[in-house]
Amino acid sequence: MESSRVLTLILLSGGLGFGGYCVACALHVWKARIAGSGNHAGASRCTRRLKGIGVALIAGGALTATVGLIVQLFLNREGVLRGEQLTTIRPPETLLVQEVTSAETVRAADWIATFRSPEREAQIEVNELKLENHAAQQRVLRSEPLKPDAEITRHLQEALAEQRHLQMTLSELELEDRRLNRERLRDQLAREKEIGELGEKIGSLESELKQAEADREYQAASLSRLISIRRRDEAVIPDDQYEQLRSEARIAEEEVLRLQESVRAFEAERAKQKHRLHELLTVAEQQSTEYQTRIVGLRERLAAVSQQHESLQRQLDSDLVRAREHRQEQLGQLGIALQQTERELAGLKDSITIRAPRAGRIVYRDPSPQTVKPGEPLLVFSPDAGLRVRLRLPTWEARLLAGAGPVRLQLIEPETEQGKVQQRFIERRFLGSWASSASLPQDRGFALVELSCEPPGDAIRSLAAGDEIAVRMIWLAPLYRNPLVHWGALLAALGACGITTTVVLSRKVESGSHARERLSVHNSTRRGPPPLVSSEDAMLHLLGSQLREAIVRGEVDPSLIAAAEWALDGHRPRAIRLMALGLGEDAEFLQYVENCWKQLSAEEPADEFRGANCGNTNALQQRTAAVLRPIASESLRRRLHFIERQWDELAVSRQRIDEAAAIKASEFMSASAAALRSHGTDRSSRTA
Amino acid sequence: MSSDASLPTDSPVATAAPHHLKSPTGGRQEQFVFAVGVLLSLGLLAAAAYRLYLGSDGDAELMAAARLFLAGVALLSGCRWLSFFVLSFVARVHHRRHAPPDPTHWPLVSIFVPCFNESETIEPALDSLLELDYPRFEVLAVNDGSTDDTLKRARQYEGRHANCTVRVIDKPNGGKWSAHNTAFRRSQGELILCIDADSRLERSSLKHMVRRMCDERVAGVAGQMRVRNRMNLITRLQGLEYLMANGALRLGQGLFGTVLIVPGPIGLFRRSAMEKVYGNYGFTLQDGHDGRMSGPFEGDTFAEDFDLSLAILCHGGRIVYEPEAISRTKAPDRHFALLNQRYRWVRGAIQVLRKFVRRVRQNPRVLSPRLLVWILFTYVPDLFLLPAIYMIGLGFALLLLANGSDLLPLGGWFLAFLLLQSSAGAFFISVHRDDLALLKVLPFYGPYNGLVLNSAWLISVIDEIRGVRMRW
Repeated sequence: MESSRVLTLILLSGGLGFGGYCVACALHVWKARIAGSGNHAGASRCTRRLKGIGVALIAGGALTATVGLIVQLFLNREGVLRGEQLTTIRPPETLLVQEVTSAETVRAADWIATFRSPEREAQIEVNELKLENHAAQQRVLRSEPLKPDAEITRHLQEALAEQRHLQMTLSELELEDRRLNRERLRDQLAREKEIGELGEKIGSLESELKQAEADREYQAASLSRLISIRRRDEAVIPDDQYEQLRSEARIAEEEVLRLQESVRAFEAERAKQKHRLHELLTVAEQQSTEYQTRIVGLRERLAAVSQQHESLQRQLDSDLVRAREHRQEQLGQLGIALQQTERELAGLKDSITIRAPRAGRIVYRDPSPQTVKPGEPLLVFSPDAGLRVRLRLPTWEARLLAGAGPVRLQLIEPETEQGKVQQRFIERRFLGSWASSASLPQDRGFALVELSCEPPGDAIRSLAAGDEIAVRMIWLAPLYRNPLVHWGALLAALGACGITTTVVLSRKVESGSHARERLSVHNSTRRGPPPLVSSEDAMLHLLGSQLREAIVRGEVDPSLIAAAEWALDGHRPRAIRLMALGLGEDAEFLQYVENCWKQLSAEEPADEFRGANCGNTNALQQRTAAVLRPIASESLRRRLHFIERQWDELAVSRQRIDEAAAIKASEFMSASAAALRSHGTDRSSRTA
Repeated sequence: MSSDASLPTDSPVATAAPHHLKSPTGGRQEQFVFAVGVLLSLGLLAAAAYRLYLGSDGDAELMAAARLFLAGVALLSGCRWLSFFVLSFVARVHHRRHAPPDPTHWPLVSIFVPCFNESETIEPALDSLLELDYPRFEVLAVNDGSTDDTLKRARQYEGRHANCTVRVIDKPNGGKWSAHNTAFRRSQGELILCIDADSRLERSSLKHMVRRMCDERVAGVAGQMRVRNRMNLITRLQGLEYLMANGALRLGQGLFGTVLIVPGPIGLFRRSAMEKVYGNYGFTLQDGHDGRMSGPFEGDTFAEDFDLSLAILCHGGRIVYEPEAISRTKAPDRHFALLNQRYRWVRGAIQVLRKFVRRVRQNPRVLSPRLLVWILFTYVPDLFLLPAIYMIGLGFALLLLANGSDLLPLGGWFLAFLLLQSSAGAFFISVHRDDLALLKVLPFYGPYNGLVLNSAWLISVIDEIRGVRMRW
């Protein structure tokens, strides 16, 4: 049996047992006390029987529940764990483990382990180099330009060169033509402007000429008139004036001549310019015509060359398509070579690498992968749903287990044939969750329960080797869900109902007088004796007690008597009542009083009482009697009176005896003196 | 006799030089155990606070509730024990630094020995009293209507002895309280020592207690109770309980002069304080009527010692604790007797507290703050919290076991409690100079408290609520 279960059982039974014992003892004490306190009631035969049945039912219920608990605690909850759906990775014989994945879960085709092999690693390196070479060739091929047909290219270049030459020549001619036109136009404009300027000058000269001719005519008229005047009288016109006038006329004449000459010169110049202009236009027209002719020729030539170029260009384009296709074919060849190398490389790598055959969780990983021997499990996969533990449980426990959440499972070490327990598993406990349950048709009341779980690595290793492992479930269904406990509780409840009924019946049977009696007892217990009115009452009460104690001891203290006298003076009614209570009344005390009286009489009175003797008693006796007299009971008072009277009589008789004794003593003394006197001499001599 | 005389105005004890000087902080063992106990308490407090801070932490509901409950209990327990440790240690240091001096005049002490069918124990008790190291005292053995030969055996001792006088008073049965009152009436001592007939005082106990009376404010001195008959587990557990529960409490209470219970087996009172209590709360009875006698002790509760102590405290008197005064008493050695005793104690405590509440209602001035604090600190946990905690804890344990839960995760808490209790036990045993062998029964202390005492608590509370008539 599992140790924890034994511990639980011991704890449970010990706790319940000790608790039950304590409760039973407490109930026993309680019952004894209730019986002693008179709180119990008489029970009839019927109620006793009913009570007995109730107790029996409670006991039966407790027994049933206990049996249920024991059965449940001792039920075998062992199941079987098998390595179904486990995938085990084992290293090949020729390879050594290099690296293992550290992931907990892997998808299909994920890398999980790598092995080592020098030959294959060399091949891998060669293939990797090839791969690099092919890749480089591809890059080179892609970077190279296309290669068209050289003849076509040459013709095309020639045509292109001629076309460019013609184009350039045409451009130059057109430029020259335009320049010629511009120069012609500019010269034409300059000439025409110059001609216009000459015309304007001629016009101004002609107007000056007209002015000069008018001036000349005027001068000539003036001169003629002057000459006529002079002719009529020379005296009238001086000579100098005449000469002046003549010179002016001559100057005017000369001016006219000069102007005429200038007009003619300018007109000649204008005509010349016009002629030149005409010549210029003519030359320009000729040159322009020549240029246009050449341009037309060039354009025709250029069109022919362009057609040739286009034809060549089409040939070149078709040739480039061909060249491109050729390069693509080359690249394709290289790609195929590359893929071939990659495949070879992947194949080589795959030969030293393991990939997950399917998605799942790695439930076991050898702690030292590099030292795993060929054939031993390196990695173990389990499906995502985990492994299954199958066990047989009562149906009601199986139902509860479905909602119990994760439960703990423990591996059971197998036994050898010699009966010894093998210590294979270090980690023995793990969690499992309810997965399914199905009732067993041939095993009524029981169900087959499947728990999904993740066993520890050691167990997985064993499972991967094909072993079966026994597993114990460390889970206990709530005891209060046990059907037997339910039955027990039901029986106990019935018993409790029965006992409650007996109690109710017993209470009804109780008489009202009994209840009143209990009530009165209860009230008297609660109320207690009447309280004192004040602290003075208590002190008076206590004073009575102390007085009694002093009398009992025979040590009546004068201060105590003084306090009693003071109390009686100050609080006489209360003092008498309360001191009497404290003093008490019993036969023994009367004897003590008598003894005390005797003792007081024998005592030497204190200073304050000295000389206060009155009669046959001393003052302390008298004061004690005076204090005792009012507070004493009737019997004590009588006794006190008797003692006093007896004491007086005794004192009187003692006095008489003393007097007689004194007389006798005096007589004796006188006789003795006489005798002494008679025998004085003899005695003195003997004494000497 | 003045009625309004203040309690300890006329101290009969004059002081002289201190009688002994010791290390103020106690021995190394005591210091070590104190340090360990304080550290454990603080650790438990921190763990409890951390646990409460974490909350349920994803456990199952029942287990989470159990964990939180244990954390709460640990918090309370840590605080309580920490305060006990500190107060007790301070009390010890204070007591050693302010050691009471020897009085120049030893006052007359009256020792009350109420006897009821104590024929087997009265002689050793009187023998132990006659051997007391004290110059002048009187012993009043009150035979409370015994039906055996207690009176005859006690009479053998009657008379004058070397330093004491023994008087035997016979009276009809009226209860321990009336026997005390009878002795009070018959006594003359200015100090009154009440003991039980089955108690045996150590030789120097009386002197230790009288020294504490040098302080005029002190009206009562409680001594240390020890179990004499350590013959079985029950008595040993009681011996441990007297140290860990009663001793610890009284050390702390004594520091403030507020010892709530002067135990019946050894308690010294000042007569004037008792007279004042009698004057204020006393009842008049026809003395000797039905064997009852009025006085400072009252018979309306099961705990007349607690009643008297509380009444003295109500009137401003101080009651201190003297662990050097030791009374070896006989503890119940059977389960039934123990339950009976605890029934009386618990019911008595409840009765006295109810009476105290009535007195406070009548006169609120009797309630001083320190008295209220100590009553709350002592009786709220003892009468309500601890029984409730034990019962709830027991319910949790049963529920967890019934639920099939594993109790091992909670083992740490129990181990911590056990460690704390061990350190507390070692400390208080060391303080009281008792035998460390008592620690052997410590693992049973929890069940003893939780099951044995609580069962008595349960029936006594029920009876008190029902008002069942008192019966000794």
